[in-house]
Amino acid sequence: MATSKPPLPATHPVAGSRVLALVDGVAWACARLGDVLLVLITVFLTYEVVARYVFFAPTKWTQDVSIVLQIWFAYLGMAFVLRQRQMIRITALLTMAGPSLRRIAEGFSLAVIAAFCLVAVIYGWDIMMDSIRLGRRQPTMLEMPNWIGELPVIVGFALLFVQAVADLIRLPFRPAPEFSPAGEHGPAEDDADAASGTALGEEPRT
Amino acid sequence: MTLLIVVAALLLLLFVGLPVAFALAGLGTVMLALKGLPLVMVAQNLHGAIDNFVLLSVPLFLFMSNILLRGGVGRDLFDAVQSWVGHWPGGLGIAALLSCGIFSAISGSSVATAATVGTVAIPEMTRRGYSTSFTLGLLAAGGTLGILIPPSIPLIVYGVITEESIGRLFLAGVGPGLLLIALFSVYCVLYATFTKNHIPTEKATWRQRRDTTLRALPTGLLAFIMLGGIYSGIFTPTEASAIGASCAILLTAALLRTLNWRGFMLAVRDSVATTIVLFLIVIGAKIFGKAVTLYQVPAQVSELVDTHVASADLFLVIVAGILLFIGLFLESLSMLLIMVPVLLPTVLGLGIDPIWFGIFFVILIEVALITPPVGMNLFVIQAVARTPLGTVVKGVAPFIGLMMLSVVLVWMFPDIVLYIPFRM
Repeated sequence: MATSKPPLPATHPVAGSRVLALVDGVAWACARLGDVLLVLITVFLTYEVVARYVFFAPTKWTQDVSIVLQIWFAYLGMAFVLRQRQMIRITALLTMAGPSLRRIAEGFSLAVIAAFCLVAVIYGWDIMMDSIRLGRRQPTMLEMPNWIGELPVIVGFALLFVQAVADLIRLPFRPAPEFSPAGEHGPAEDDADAASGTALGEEPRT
Repeated sequence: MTLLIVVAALLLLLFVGLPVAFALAGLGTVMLALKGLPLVMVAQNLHGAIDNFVLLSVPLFLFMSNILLRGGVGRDLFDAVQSWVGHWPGGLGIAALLSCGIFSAISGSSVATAATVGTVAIPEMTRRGYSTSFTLGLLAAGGTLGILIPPSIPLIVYGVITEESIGRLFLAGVGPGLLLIALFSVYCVLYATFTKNHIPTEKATWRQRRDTTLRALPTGLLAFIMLGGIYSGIFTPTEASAIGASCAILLTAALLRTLNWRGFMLAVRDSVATTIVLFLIVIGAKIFGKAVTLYQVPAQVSELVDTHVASADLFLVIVAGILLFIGLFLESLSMLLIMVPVLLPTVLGLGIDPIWFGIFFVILIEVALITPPVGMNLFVIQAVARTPLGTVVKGVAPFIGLMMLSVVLVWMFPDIVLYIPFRM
């Protein structure tokens, strides 16, 4: 989803807000941590195959640890994906809508996301506390405590909630978001850019 | 009635621009709340949705595809195939298609396939006088092979939803994949023969063929290692994706020296972002799936089909129509995650083979990838070629016809899908 969000004047209270900048920064840092986790998953699973066939010593931890890392990177990166406006959505009607309607639609989306995050955090917390209290463990050889895989749901949706609220605060102070059918899936644009040799920005877009 | 309300509410949320993942998750949550069910079910599904070893292959296959894309292996692949078939009538088009086919065997992504081969093939074909719309249409359509020829990310997700063997689904995609390559190739030959507006390519010497093939050989070996490893039982599809990603890094960074640190980092970031976007939809679909099951929506669909649809064939025609319509607006994996859980009980009830149905479904979502206004491959090829979208759309029209022909052939001759996984 392509949007143009020209920066606000530096004197504007929203543009200069350190809190909002901090929210964006945390989302970015968590997404970069996710990059490291993906590389680790690749290394672990490759090591498992090598250990099994070269050293004849299969591990009992690679599968469990890789799944947990997958859960962590998927949930930790949600806020950054929202900030980058990469979520898949149907924009066919929004492309034809006027600025006010586009702004309302964006506000509605962010409000729904924030509301869902609250449900996820509140009930996710209950589940994790139950797991800790009852000492629940995974039914695998490693018997990892369940809360290790339940915590990222809470952290991820809490970050997403904060990011959605931050974007909601910015919404009235920015030009109305622009939508195009081509922009429904950010990473695909990146693929096209990669293929055509266009450099990609490494920092979060503002 | 419930079915109608659910469909109407979902369409409304989707068309007002709510991200697909949150349209599904939000509607599912409201449905559970209205039924007086505890919302802790939502959190339970959040925990369970991606706690799955098979799903791990999605980020890893994406990672491998992105590494190969950034490493520019498309050039070697295209040069090698072109040296063998480039001098045939429509040879460059066939070379592009075969390159798409080979890249599809090491990538589970249609976008990566279209971008990787398109970058190399589009300038070469337009330089040789092939019309721009034909060239762009061919590459957009050829890219869709990425999700049919194994490995395939939609087939992995389909396997997870339906609990069918991923290995069998992969094998089932081979026959239709080859059929599509054959149909597209015949069209290339006919197009070149009748239009005659391109400059023929000189026949390559044996030395050129040897040199280009040797350079592309490691990329081909990658497909052999992964698929060979899976079917000989050496490793699981998820482990194959990790081995594939590691080998792709070794190949592009150490052997070919075409991948630098920046390219590597961007490949990681693209893979992580795409995975999160896809997994969010998986999570949303899981909650929505739970809610519609508790509202007995799949059972209502099954009952509706039993009452009003006389045969499995008519059911398939209706499903194809629905998929073609929603494919105009919706991204391919979302279609799969929304539709399959609802349709599966009916599919099984009508005696349709779920493996066959998976391939039928994936061919139809391939069509969705090249139909406007929302067709990911159209946008990728448009961005690569830097041409108006209308030119790409004009070019894909004949290929959409050929893909629909392949759906008919697969329906008339189910063995195109089922022979390899069940009888070989």
